[in-house]
Amino acid sequence: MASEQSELLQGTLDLLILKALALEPLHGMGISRRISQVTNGTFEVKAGSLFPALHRMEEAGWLTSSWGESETNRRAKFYRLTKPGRGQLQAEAKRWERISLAMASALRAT
Amino acid sequence: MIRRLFALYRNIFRKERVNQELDEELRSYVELVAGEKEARWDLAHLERVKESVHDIRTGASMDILLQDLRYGIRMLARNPSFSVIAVLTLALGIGANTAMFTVVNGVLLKPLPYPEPDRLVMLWEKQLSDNSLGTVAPANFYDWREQTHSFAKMAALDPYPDFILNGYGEPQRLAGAAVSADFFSLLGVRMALGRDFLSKEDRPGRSQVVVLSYLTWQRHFDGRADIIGKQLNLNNTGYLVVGVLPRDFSLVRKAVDFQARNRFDLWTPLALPSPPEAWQRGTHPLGVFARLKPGIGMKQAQADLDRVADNLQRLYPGADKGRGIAAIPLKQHVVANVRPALFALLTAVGLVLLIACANIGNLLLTRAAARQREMSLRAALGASGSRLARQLCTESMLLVMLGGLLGLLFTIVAVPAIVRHLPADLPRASEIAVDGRVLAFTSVVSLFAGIAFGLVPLFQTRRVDTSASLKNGGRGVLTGHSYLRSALIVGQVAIALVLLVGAGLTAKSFWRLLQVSPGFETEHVLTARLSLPPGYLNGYKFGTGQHLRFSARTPGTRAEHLRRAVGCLHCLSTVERRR
Repeated sequence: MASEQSELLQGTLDLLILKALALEPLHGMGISRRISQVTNGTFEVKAGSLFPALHRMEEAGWLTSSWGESETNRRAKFYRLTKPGRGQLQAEAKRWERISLAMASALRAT
Repeated sequence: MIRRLFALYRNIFRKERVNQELDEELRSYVELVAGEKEARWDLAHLERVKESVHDIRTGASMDILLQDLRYGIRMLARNPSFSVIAVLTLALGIGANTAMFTVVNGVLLKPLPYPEPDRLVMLWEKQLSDNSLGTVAPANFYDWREQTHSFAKMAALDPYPDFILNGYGEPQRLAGAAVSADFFSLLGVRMALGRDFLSKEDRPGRSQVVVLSYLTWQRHFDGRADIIGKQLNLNNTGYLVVGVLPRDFSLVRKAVDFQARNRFDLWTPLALPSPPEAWQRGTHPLGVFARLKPGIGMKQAQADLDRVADNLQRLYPGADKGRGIAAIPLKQHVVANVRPALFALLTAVGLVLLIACANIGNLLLTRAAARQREMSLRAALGASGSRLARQLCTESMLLVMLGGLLGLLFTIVAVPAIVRHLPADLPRASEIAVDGRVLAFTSVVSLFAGIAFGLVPLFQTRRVDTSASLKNGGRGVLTGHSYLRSALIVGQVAIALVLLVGAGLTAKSFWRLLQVSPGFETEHVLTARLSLPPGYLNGYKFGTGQHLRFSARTPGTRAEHLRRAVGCLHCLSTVERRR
């Protein structure tokens, strides 16, 4: 299992976090869980990279946070996308699609 | 942008609260994780997460800077002899540079103290044979003014009139200048009191009006406002005072212009006789000033003048044959011959600062050796190379800031003293003062100095082998860096040599200049200028003999000496003419 986990590519973490928050507000643990789910366990985001990224993105204005109750009735900080955040998500997604297409075709070439 | 500022504000001024929230957030995260997996969290790991969040915050670098500054101050305080020597060395280097720059700024860089100074030019008669420039004949001035199209205004100045003021205590000799009526409006000068000349006063018979310089007004008339409209007895003629010039007005120029007069006490209209055909073309007493029309460049103006000059050559083959017209921007005219000297001096003090930097770089190297253990310890504790470099840079900057401040103080104290000892013929000396530009210069120079010597120890810390130097208890394995030290010393010696040779050559040139024989004995010879009011010598045949008889009454001189003196003066003027 562990061997199948991949190092996060530079710049993908932001996109994954934005994507994870596109549906609903989540707390930090929730975000890491969601990312692991949607990538079938390929990416496990550790606290050491998750929290700096969250705070950086919040300061950049892509996310806002508020305190709420987690599903286990604990106090937790929930992050949600802002409008600039959604714009950023779209832009990043487009960029990433372009890159992955290019990479795929490059690898297929004989 | 606004969000960033807000974040910055929070991170700096609400630091406690921000950190508290982060603690809480992480705690809840840990609890959630613990509920799910058997994850083990140790405190150290949590601290590391916190650190990494701190590092990405807006203003994190500022935080680090403050830390480094505090640390740097402690380090400097712990080693006072080093700090004092370094700061004083820097203060001298930076102070010398700032002082020199203040002079350069005042003389060369500041715009002339008139509105739109870039459009002001001086016009000269040019000998086409050798390109020498000379002052202008009245008739030529008239023709230039009438026939050119590039100038909004053109005015002439006659620097020769002298006046004896009678009726206010002892008779005073005052240096006068006669100017065209629009001279002051050309320069853009407004009278402090009274009015400018009227154009109708710029004619013979109407011209018994006078404008006083501020200094004359203060010195001889106690600055009384009712001087306007008073009659003054000048050269036994009544003159009406119409205006007083503002305190800050000065006619910037080279002192060699206008027979080395460095100020004019009073001004009268030039009043060239009409009709203009009667004006002289053979004598050349006038300095001509002009203001370019907006949008006209020097090239266009010069072309315009060349056309007029050709015209005049054809019309007056006697007087104007071989004469062109040269337009020179007023500022260039004023400062042209001090520019190289000032820049040479600026370079010299710049080199002195380089030596100072090399010196301090060396001191820092020595200290870096002593601090190697500290650095190794910090590196072992996880400080990255760039973080250590930053710390060292901050300390260097701290040094250089202190040095710069001290240097600036030194300059502010020294500038008035320097100005007093400047050569009397340095133009614009009165405009030398510390201003915003000087402050900017000091900051930039300090910054560069800081970078210059701040980088030196970095080359060395890079090579620190952490474990080795820790084991050695800080006695240090200083591999390779003696290279750097030798390079610094070699550089210092080289620069010092350059300065020394430069100074030596300059001194020698000066010595040689003093040794140049003017073709006559200069010892025990006096020169004197004498001017007699018009009409004073009516009926005398004006010649050397008259001069002698007149002067022989001067107590303590003998006619024989004076005859010799006059002889010398004669040969002096011949020498000048040949040149």
